[in-house]
Amino acid sequence: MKFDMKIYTLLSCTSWLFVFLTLDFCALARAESLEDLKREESTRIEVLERISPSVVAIFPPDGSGGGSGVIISEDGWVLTNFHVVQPCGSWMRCGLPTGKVVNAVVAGIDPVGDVALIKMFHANPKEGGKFPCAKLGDSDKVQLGDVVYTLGNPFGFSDDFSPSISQGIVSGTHRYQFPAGTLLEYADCIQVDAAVNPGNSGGPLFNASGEVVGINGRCSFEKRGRVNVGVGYAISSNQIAYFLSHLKSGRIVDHASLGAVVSGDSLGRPVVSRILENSDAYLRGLSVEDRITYFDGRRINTPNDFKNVLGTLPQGWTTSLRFMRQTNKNEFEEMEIFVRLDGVHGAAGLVKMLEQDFDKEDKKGKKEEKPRGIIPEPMKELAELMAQFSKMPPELADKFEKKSGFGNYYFNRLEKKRIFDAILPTLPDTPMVLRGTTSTSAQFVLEIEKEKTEMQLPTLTIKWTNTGDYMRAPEPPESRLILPGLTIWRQLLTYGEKMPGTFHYWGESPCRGEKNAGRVFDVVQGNVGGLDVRFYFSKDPLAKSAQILELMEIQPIDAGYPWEFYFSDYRASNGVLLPQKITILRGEETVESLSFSDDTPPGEKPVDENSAGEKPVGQNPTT
Amino acid sequence: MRQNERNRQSIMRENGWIRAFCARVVCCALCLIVCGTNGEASNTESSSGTPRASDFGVALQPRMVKIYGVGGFANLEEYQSGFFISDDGLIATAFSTVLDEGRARCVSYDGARFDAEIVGVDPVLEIAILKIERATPEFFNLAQGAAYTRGRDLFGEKTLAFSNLFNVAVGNEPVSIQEGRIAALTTLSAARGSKESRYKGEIFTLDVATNNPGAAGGALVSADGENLLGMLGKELQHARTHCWLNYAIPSHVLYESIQAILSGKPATLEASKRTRPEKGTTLEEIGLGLIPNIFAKTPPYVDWIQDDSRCARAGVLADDLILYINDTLVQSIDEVRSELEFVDFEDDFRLTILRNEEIFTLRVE
Repeated sequence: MKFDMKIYTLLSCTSWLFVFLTLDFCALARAESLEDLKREESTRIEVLERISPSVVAIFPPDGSGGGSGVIISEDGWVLTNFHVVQPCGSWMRCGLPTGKVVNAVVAGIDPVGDVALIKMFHANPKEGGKFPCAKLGDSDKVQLGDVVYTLGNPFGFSDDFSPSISQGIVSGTHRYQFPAGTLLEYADCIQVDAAVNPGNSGGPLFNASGEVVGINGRCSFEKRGRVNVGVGYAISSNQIAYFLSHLKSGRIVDHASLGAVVSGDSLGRPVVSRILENSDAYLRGLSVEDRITYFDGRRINTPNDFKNVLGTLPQGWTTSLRFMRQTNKNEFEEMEIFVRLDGVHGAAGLVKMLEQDFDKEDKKGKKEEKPRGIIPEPMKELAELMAQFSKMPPELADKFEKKSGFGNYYFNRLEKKRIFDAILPTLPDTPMVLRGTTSTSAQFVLEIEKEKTEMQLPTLTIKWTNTGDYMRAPEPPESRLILPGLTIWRQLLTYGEKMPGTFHYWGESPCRGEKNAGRVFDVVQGNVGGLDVRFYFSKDPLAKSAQILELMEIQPIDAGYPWEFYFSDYRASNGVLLPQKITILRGEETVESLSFSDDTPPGEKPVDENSAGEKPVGQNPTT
Repeated sequence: MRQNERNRQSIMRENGWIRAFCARVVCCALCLIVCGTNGEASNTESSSGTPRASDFGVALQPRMVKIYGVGGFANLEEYQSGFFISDDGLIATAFSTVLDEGRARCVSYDGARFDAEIVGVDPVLEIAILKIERATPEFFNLAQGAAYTRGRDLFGEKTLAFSNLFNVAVGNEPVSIQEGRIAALTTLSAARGSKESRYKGEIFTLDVATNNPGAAGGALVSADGENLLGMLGKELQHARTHCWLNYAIPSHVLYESIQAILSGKPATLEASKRTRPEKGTTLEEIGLGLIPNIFAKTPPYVDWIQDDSRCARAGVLADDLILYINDTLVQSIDEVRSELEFVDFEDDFRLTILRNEEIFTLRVE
């Protein structure tokens, strides 16, 4: 009995100790929780105070309507929605949270992705100073349930331009929203329950750290009218990062298309159901019934996964595509190709669609225009004031150039000049003579002039006369575009921006090949004598401001494989930096590889100039 | 019947929660003690120490179901939400026109598609129980949720609403999550269009816009992800203000209703197993005239009553909508006719009807 009592007492004491300890720790936990809440609050306030100055309200020149935007650089680049900029025309006003109004001019527009880039300019550059800007974050790191903030000017509430703030969570990631009409496709977007209302369009979606992870632009409304119902969508910052250099080019940019329709099979897996035979994907080997497994490095499980990746890439983007192909009844082979993606609408198609949209707006506007009659004196003054107010301000006057295919050609001219000015080397306008060996170790002498290009081999000489029509090239087909391509190369190095043809800066884009994985190049695109030409430049590792040509793609405009000229092994010789090797590919096949000997500076005639017999063009291959 | 009994037992098994709860309290206390000695470490992942939506937003997705059925025209969506409530494929969802065919296509979190049959419905609460033939190890413990919500003051409780609103998520995409708080525990006095809702009982109103197409049947979960608080309600407007109501039916209300459904006699599964009497009952014999049967699922509205007939004596009136014959749900004129064949022509039976948004049960003698 005594033993039992001891056990009972021990158990009782232990129980009470346990209860006290539990209560004690509960109280401690509550106290910690309160401290945590205070700390969270102060962090939130600090973040919101830090990011708010970068949010702007955007208005058309006449002050009607408007949306929001976010400053992403100290020199005044602002991201917003295309549908915010569209009614503004070439320039707009930006209300800063300080209450100051700064004028901005449109740069690049992305009507498919609903993004626009505009640039603010101080009326007096000396007094303006730097703009407060926000940092772009990595939207792929955004997770379901993350805390986010939407900032902007919903319903035009804010007269002093201080942004309205709403906090919420990420309701969904990697969402796909079908195009509204023919444009405004939201791929791989972020769904949030923070309030996104009319006027928030173009405003930033911040993560809890204050990084821009999206641009708010769309909501699901249906039967409630145009007010938020807890379902807003933001264009992902990573999509914008892909497009940023393209938008800075001042172009009307298009999104990527594979040239194939990808549908779900009976198990919902993404399978190619149709493919265009002139698409790059088809030329590289993709065909109907292939099942897509990876695209641009991302795992693809459903057609929506595929559309999500495709919709975030710009036209002309080169990336990897992996797919499974059934080789036998139960055997599958995984294959990988690199494809250069075409545009959804094509440059001309997109411009035409936009012009039609603008025409509709104009006609609509004219219908709604009321007869003016005699304007009362006070109204006349107001009308004059408004007209004056809508006139492009002087600080923007020389920063807008209208050109078909561009939101603002002014910025493209700047970017093009930046690239061409930095091209190394610039050669004298004399015949360019290069010696070396082919891939079969045959020695050659290559002489490239303005009017003709000639390649002397031990047994033959191939000539091509430059009449301006680059489609008239030497035969047979496997050597067709080699000499015209080398001619274009020499023109680039000799004449720079003044080379024949029309060129514009395209933006940053990757190029084919595993060794180039993860690299992007400054791309200049143009048209030379019926050929579509793309130059891929990289920054010189020694002189960062200099641009080195790494790849030239030339392609007949209608169709066919692009010819790729890879320039490598750059070496300085007699003060000139030139590639020691040019590898020429047509499709997946290496057509030729030319290695130069570095003892002949360009411009010097070879010693064995007349040793090779001349042969009419089009009888034998070059090697 | 045996299947229903199993289902019921499956739910009832959850009554062992008391033991589990006690065990959990002890574990939590021990954890507190352990964490108390190492408090800094416990706060490294989440600055407040409390779970966040991002911690389990993905983890709870396997419990959610996207449901597809009839609709897709005018303002009738063909999609809604649901969630698993047992490990053998029982799904709780809203009873709506989406389920008019008596079955639905369900898509689980991994994109797998299943055909689901209706096990039973509660026409007053407007909830339905579906079943798919698949083990579903991830499910919401309804009994635990009911114990959590019953009698507790949850005013201001932080919540997360999981639903496939606007059908934003397709295939294997996770359903949408919205964060909010319980604004009130009140009774539903709402209207759909100009008609009052049948259910007038307890609801949670929410400060987050959950009232969206396709959200009905979604799960309302406590902010720590531990407890099911309720089911997101259908699209309703307040009877007076006509504001759209963001509300959920509390778990304890759901629990009782679902227990009743699973222990009852849902006709959809059991009809084929019953024996017919030698002579059943016909509409003509009981003096009941229904509206012309022009659709595959023409709702069984009463068109006329023959004077001094059995139905007239029972008090059936024109424009009544027949919901049940005895305990069997009837959703069309064809179902009324076939169900009456199981009622012996000499036997009394019950008719449950909807009249002016009120439900009556009449005895036909």
